[in-house]
Amino acid sequence: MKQKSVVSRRTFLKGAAATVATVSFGGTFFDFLFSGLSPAVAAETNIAELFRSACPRNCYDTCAILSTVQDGVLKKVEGDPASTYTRGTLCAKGFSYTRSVYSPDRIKYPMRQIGRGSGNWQRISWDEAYTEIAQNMLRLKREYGSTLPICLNKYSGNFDIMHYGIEGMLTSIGNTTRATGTPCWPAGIDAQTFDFGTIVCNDPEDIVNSKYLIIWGANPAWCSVHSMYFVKEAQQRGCKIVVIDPILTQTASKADLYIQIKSSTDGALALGMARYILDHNLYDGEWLAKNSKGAEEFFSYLKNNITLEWAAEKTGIPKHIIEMLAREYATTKPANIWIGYGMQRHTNGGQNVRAIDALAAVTGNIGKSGGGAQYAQLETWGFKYHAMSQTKPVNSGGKEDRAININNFGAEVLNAQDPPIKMLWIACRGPMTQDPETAVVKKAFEGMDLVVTADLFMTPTVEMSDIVLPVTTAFETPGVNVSYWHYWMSLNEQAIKPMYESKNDITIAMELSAKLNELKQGSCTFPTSGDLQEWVGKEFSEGIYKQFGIQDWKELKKGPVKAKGSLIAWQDNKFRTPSGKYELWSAEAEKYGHFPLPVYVEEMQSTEQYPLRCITPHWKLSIHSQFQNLDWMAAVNNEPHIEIHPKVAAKYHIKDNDAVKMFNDIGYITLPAKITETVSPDVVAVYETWYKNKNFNVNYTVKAIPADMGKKATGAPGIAFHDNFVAIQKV
Amino acid sequence: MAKKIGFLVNSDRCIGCHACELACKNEYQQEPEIRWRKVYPLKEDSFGRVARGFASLACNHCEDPACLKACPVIAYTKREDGIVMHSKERCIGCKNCMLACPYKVPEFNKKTKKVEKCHMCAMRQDKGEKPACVAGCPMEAISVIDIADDVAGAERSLPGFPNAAITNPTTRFIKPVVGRQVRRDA
Amino acid sequence: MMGEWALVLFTVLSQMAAGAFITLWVLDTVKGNIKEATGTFVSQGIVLAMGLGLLTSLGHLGHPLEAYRASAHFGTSWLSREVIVFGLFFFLTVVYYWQWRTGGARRLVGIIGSLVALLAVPTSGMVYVLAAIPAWNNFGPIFFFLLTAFTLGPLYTAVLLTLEQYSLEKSLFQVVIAALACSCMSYVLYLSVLISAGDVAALTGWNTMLSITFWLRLFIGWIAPLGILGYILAQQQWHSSRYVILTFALVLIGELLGRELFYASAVALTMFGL
Repeated sequence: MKQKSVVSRRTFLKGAAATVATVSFGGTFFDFLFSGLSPAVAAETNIAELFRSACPRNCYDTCAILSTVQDGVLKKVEGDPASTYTRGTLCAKGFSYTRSVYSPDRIKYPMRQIGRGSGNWQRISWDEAYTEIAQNMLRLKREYGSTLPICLNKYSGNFDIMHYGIEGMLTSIGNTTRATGTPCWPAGIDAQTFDFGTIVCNDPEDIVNSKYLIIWGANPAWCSVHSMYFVKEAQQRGCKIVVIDPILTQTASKADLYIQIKSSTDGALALGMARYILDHNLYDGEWLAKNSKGAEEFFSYLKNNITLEWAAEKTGIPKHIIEMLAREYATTKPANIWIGYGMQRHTNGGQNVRAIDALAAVTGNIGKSGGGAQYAQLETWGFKYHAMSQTKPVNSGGKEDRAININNFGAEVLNAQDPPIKMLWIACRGPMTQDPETAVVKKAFEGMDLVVTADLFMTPTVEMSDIVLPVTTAFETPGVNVSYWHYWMSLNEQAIKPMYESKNDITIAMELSAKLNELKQGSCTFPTSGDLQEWVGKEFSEGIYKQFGIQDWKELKKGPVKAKGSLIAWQDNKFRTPSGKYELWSAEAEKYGHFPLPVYVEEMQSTEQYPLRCITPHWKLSIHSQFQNLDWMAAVNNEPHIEIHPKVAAKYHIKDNDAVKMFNDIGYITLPAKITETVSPDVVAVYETWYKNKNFNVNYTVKAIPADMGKKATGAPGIAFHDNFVAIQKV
Repeated sequence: MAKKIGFLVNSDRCIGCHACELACKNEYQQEPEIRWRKVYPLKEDSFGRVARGFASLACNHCEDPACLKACPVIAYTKREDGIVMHSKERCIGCKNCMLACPYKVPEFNKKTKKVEKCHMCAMRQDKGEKPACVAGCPMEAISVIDIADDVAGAERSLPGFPNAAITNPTTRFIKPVVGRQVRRDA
Repeated sequence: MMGEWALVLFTVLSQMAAGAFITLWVLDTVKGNIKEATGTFVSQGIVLAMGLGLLTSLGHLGHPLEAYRASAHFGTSWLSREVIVFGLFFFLTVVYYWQWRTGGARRLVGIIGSLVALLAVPTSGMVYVLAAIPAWNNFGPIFFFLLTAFTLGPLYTAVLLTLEQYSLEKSLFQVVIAALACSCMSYVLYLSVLISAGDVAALTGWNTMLSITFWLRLFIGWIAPLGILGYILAQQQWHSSRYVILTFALVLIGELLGRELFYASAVALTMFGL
């Protein structure tokens, strides 16, 4: 969109002059004193251009943005009112975008580091960078007979569809090693895949139709602020909001009922509720008979293995509360459950999600507006993935790509043999701060011949690289974005020219391809030129056009569009499981080594040595390593804390802001304490993020313990981030 | 009489997300340390039960503004609608207003060496637009009201807010409501 | 709050000049034995102190060259009033000096100047009487500013007179001792009131008590000068310029420290505890 708008200061100045007119005295002396009262009439009239942008972050909300550009400068960003989901607003992170575009900390040109981790950076030209990278790639291929020693670690830093071209670039040089999987949410994805066949959620705007909403282990007030509006709206329309969470989160603070559950025992609560529902005949037998598989087996499991006393004991929630919750949930229609990603980051997380799904199934809430078991959706992601789909050069060596588990990246890189991994390409990712077991990740980096990182800022990952390539922000490059939660699609127009010498990842791929072919003809199949705008167009499939009711992708320049229809998950009761039914009994689950029914799998327990569970949730001013490093954010908050319950603090003689060392057998961090009753006495909370110039990285203490599920749908199990047990001491 | 306006801060809707604060910064592309609007955390137990509550505050556009009185160069003026304006042209950066304001609103800009503060987006309002913070809040927790209107639940203070009698702020508050809690630390 | 060196210097120097002016006028009026050359020298010193004070005050401004506009809001702003009254006082010190030098009728200028000085110091104090800062929202700033004028002012005049071999009288030092004792005792009283106030004013009190500056100020600005003055009186040494200069220097340092503390320890009303 190139809508022109006129911004004038004149009206403001007129108003300001009028207000001060009352204090004029006249006379030369006073004129002298009061000079400056009427501001100089600067009748500047500037033409502002508006562009459609899209926030490409790993976030539920994936906001549609309107960017104001004046004289080639991004002046401000606003929420695009055309989206009924974001309703014209952004979050704090979104509103900070001009500050990441124009941050003084941006990496401005390619640089080579003499001595990894030394900080001794030298500016180099793009050609020098490409030459060194290409020579290394070709050398490794020569030495090992394939490009398998080259490993890509790319994930969620930018979810623009075009950015999958980074994977395409690696494909175009041959068989390579890929960090495979997803750290955040795979256990839940597998759980819903076993139950429903895949993940599909109701349109979040439908939340307003719920009469009962359980937000289970999710904190939309921090992680999906636009959904929180609909939650509040539902509450105002009479929906009871229940939040189940080990931490009294911001969302919990707004609930009608907050239940502090013992971490990782969510399945016990769900199964206890199911038992109550069964015992009191509150289940939807008709729906189950028609649409489910394994209800009888599930009910008999409940009867034989689950009691409310047991559930109360496990979860730390009084029996009468579980009964009340079960009764209310089963009898209020429609009742909705939002299953968060936080609650599945456990060694039993997938099973716990399955148990919660089962609650929605037995009460017949599946496929209903206002009902359901919401986790996420990938229904709107049916692009062509043109940039990603590249062919491998002929006879490039190796049989196929080698997958290593992204969730245990450091160890897997170190253990890879035949051939070993010798080169890393890191894009859209910050393993040095965001992966568990930082010390191991660092060791893996240290063993490389070459580490290339494409990034915006000097992150700890860049600090451990040999070559850094400056990349563009979303405002400097075209793209297209969809959400894994809502059903909108937004075009991302290029609003400004790339800053400094930064380049889009696709451009980097093209130019690197040219260099590779220059050095060795035929060594890379990636196109060496192309118009990025056109490449955006090539991502669109007929299916996408049909789903969104558009004829051409350029229509998105008029504003974001929402998928037409299929906005209520499983409304047709056609499930994508092998049986086509909702599978309480899943043979597929069994195949992946799980019990076929949603059963309770024992949660991890604290030990005498490490008595506290350290939960590391998202922080409201960041998404992983993004945003908190900006100076605008630092002005709001620039200090990580460890949140400790007053009882625990008293035991360790810790006062507010005392330095606390938190440690376990793999590492430690030291940070100030925040004494708060929002955590329970068996839990401490440290929000994961990256602060600029702060020696803070909670992942030094987080082990790469796999969650129970994730292998089926995402290639690797998730990480049990919240099964991290630590000890603390006052420093 | 002309309509007198003020901010209505609905702390029941507020989720402390800082979008308002950053929306303000985004609108005026402020220096990093300048914060016309600030989201203050309320004491955890301010409302009976433990909760994360906030008050999002900018200039309170007081009916009896201490900044205006203290300013030696008449940089402050009060518009008919009640907005307290600060003229950067007039300001000489003496910081006297910073001492006088009970709400720590005026801030010294080290680059311009002048004081600045929220003007309730007067020029946006004059064009019929909402202030940037109001328009940017995902929760619709901030609004501009006619202070003569009787807004249900609106109060003149929140626990921890300085005595409103000093300068008579036009800001009105709606208290957070904290629901039932089943906690494990009893 | 940050220590404000410009305000510290301005307030202390201006109060010293005010006190010194009144002292000179009183001595001239009561004793009438000050030679014109001596008076010229002393009044010149007062002009210098006041001028220096005004000059340093500019250091507090973001835009010092626009300081002239600061008198605009005399209707409500105590800062505007301070600027006007001290501007006037400075003008009068210059006139007074001119009269001494030219042998003109200085008595009228002296009395007007003294009255303006007596008005100016409390006006300065009023700038800090603010509801937003409970520790200041009382008679304290005015009272302590006046005490600075009545301790440091006479001593400054005494030093200038001593340099001109003027024979000082015992009574001048008795006044200073009384003012110093009053200053010290009332400050202790003020602190105890603050600490028992139980709000942010108490914080100011504790900030003060716990700072090294306070204890330095106590010894350098009150105890040591009182000791020396006591010694001077006991030993009839008030003609000794050595002791006069030493006492003045101690009191000046004490007042500067005390003023720094005044600004640094003030705690404003908190916003939700922040």
